[in-house]
Amino acid sequence: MKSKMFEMRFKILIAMLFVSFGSNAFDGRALVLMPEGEAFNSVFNGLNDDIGEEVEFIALNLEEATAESIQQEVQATDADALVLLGNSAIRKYKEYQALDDQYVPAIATASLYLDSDIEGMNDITGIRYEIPLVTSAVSYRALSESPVTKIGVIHREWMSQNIEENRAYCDQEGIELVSYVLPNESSRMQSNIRKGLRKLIAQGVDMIWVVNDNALVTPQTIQSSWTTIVGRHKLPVIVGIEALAESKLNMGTFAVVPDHYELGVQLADMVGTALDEDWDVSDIKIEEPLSIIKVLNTRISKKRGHTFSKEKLGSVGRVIEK
Amino acid sequence: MDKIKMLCAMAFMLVASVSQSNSLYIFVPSETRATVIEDQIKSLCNGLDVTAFGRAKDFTSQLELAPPSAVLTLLPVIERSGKFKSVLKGVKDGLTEEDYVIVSIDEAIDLSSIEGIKIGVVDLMGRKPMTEFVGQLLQSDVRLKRVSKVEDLLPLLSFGTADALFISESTYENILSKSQLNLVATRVNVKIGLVSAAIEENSGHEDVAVCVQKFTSDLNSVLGVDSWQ
Repeated sequence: MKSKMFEMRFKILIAMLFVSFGSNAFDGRALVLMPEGEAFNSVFNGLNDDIGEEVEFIALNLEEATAESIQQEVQATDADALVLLGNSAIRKYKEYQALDDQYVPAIATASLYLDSDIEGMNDITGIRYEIPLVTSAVSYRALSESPVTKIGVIHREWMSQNIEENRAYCDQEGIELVSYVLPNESSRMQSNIRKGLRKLIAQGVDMIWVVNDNALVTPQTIQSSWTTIVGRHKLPVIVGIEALAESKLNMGTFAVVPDHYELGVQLADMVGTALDEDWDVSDIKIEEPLSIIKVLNTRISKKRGHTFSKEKLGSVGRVIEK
Repeated sequence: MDKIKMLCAMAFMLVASVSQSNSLYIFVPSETRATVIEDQIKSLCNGLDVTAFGRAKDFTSQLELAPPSAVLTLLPVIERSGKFKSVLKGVKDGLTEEDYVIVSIDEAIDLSSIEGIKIGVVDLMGRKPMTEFVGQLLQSDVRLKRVSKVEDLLPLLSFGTADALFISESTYENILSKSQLNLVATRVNVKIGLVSAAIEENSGHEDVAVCVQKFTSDLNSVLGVDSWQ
């Protein structure tokens, strides 16, 4: 066994050496502006693994980057484009665009509310980060033996446009999205959520979607609002954070989170398109994220009377049974 | 530097030419995760070192770095590798190939204008080879949007990221069973070989054939076949 492992490792080492000495005939070069963090690294790995043989990626330290240093790096490396991961990277690119009228285009992702971040900027495109509800709902419908036709959501006013976009996607799939709007500021968020949930349940929703909003999801609102009502009415709950589907919270039954590696692969596809278009990104539309990781809590689901056939669980990234 | 390069290349060729004894690599795009497929096959195939891959890139990279003695994958992937000979072909409804269709929303795709549209596919080979492969099949220059997972095909279409999907008939039926979009399939008269088991060209190892014959009907179904020949 040991000799087999050694043989395998030796082969990989030699192959890596061979590859590293090989000629690096890249078709393009891009600077990557990204913060530290596991999720960002995963996006970068997906990007580099998929198209790293065609495009050379040079990572820049986001913390230290300024408009001037980005300009210098672009000139020094003769980069064709920038890849931006996260909101801060977009902010710094914006400053760089303002500084240098010979700026190179950018492709961005892993940034919350990408559209508003890049509003008014030219030569930038990217992939949104928030998973549209329809992706989660259709995935759950494919797994579940219970119907999914009407989903309730509570959101604050500032999310209204996002909710309308989600409503349109859900309509296409025959799913009605029923919303209950809360003010952006309120000192009575817990009771507002309880009231909203009761209204939604009275309208016959068969599932609840909890949006990622720090004001709506707090230890207090989880305990005194969400858990109490959805548990009593035995509703399945879609959440966007894996921790919210853990059994101890007794809240989410189905968590849908971005597959960061695949987000990087999707980004690679977009970078490839830009490469084919000689780095003109003006016709490349902003995309929705495509790939998700599904986490299903069968323990809470069962308590609420929702079951799943075992053979369908093979597509679920993590099944929480305890 | 050139001497070092040459030495490394020679060393690489020497060691890479010796395949992993009794190892089986699997790459079958499916809604079922690769680790689940791997576990099922491991439980049926004692003595085979089984590794399943969920992504084309991982599979092709590992084929180069540490070639296995056998692979289980779609026929075009086997043919492209040029290193394996098929010993068992998957069969579905009596056939070893499957029809492929172009799927769009609401309106059928005009095949004469296929060059201008973005076509969504599950990646089998990587960006350039996949574009070449699909282009040859459809006899046209194509612009592809690739995904790694079968389940990502539906979002690709529903969000308009791709104008159409180029998928097998069975994948189309699977998507139809999950979606209420008004999906339209256009026939393109293209057939692609189903999953096959193949062994290294010069290898005498046929353990993989014995192993594949033990597959349960559930496992075969995950692999998109109903029997082997």
